[in-house]
Amino acid sequence: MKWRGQKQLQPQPSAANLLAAVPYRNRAMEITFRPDGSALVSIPIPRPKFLVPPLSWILPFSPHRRVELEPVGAGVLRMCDGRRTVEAIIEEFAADHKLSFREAQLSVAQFLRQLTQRGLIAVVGGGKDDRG
Amino acid sequence: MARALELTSWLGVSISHPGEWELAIASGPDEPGRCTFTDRHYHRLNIQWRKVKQPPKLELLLEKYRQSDKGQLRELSPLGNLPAGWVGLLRKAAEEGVVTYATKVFTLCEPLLLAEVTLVWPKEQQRDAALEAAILKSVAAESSAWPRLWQAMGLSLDLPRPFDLRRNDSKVGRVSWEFAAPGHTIPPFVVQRLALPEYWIKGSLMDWMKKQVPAGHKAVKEEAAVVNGHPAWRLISRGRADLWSSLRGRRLLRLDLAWLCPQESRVYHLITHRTSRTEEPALPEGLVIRCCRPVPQVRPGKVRKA
Repeated sequence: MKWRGQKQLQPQPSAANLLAAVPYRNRAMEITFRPDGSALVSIPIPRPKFLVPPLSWILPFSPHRRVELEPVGAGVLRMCDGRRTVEAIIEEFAADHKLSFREAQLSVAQFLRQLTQRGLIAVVGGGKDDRG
Repeated sequence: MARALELTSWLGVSISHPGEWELAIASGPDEPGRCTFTDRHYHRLNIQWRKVKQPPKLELLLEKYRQSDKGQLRELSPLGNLPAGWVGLLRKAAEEGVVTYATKVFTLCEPLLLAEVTLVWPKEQQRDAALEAAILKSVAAESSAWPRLWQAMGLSLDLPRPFDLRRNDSKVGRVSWEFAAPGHTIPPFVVQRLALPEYWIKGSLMDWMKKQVPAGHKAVKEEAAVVNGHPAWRLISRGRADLWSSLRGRRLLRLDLAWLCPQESRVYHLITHRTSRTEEPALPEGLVIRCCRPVPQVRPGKVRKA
């Protein structure tokens, strides 16, 4: 029996599926890579419907959200080009920073999750069926 | 071709395993011993150990394992050609692959130690009996010899008597072990190994070390040193000791020692304290910390650029 409002449990993707997923950058965002390796990302955000005059005269609204990334984070975002899989990104990150695969995997996976939550990337596929 | 194995020595038990199987779970100092190693996709190797008063009947343990697996439609068969002292079972399941379970009592250590090893061979991979035998053969329980080797999570050190692990506070890329001696006469010390120094350390190593000193401490001495051939920095800072020590004119002195190993691209950071009037804190004699160890080579997996 299912309770009202009860969430249906989704099957958890396997580690292999997660590694085979491909992160895509948000096409609407603008990235400025700086000479020191860091990056400034500007993501457009929709204007809230309630923000109309006279409320909008009082509450400032910025049509963009800006996220500043350190050189390490900017390097990972640079690798999210829609061609590399998560596994390939982890391998490159591990090689660049002399990390083991597991160290790189935990760091990169956490960072990609943060980027997804902030709307900078979307991680697509990973399942055998999705890869076609 | 024989595979090069990597040694892990944790809480008095050592085991060799393929380098790409990394330590994912390690038990704490007051828990029954356990180490779990994973590859990219699966848990591959699990070793558990506990102290026993009497040597248990291993056949009974196997029977218990057999009973626990009953009714799960798996094929169980005794495992042959194992290294001396080991008995085991092989569990085959069409969807899951093969699982090897082996157990042994180590009688040369005091108290006796019962070790149980589980190896997972996923269905995509063939069971490697030679590797399995090499792993089982490598399992060794602690001897009474000192200094004792601690080698796990990329950190390798020789620990002098009578220190033992008090706390393992390791996170991704930041291994931190605290060792202490029984009683309160010998001060404890902490060994840390940090990855991604370019991320953590923006200025000089000394500036970074000063930021690690807790609030209320005042730097009193800074000096250069050499550790394992690398330039290192020593920082002595002074803080307030407990009331009784303060009344006797004593201060809490803290020693920080840090160096960067360029080959590993890791920062090593050692901390110890001492409550004293003038005498500087010092790291225990006989403590050896190895750096410049081979960097893990991440080999490309099956799935490459999409």
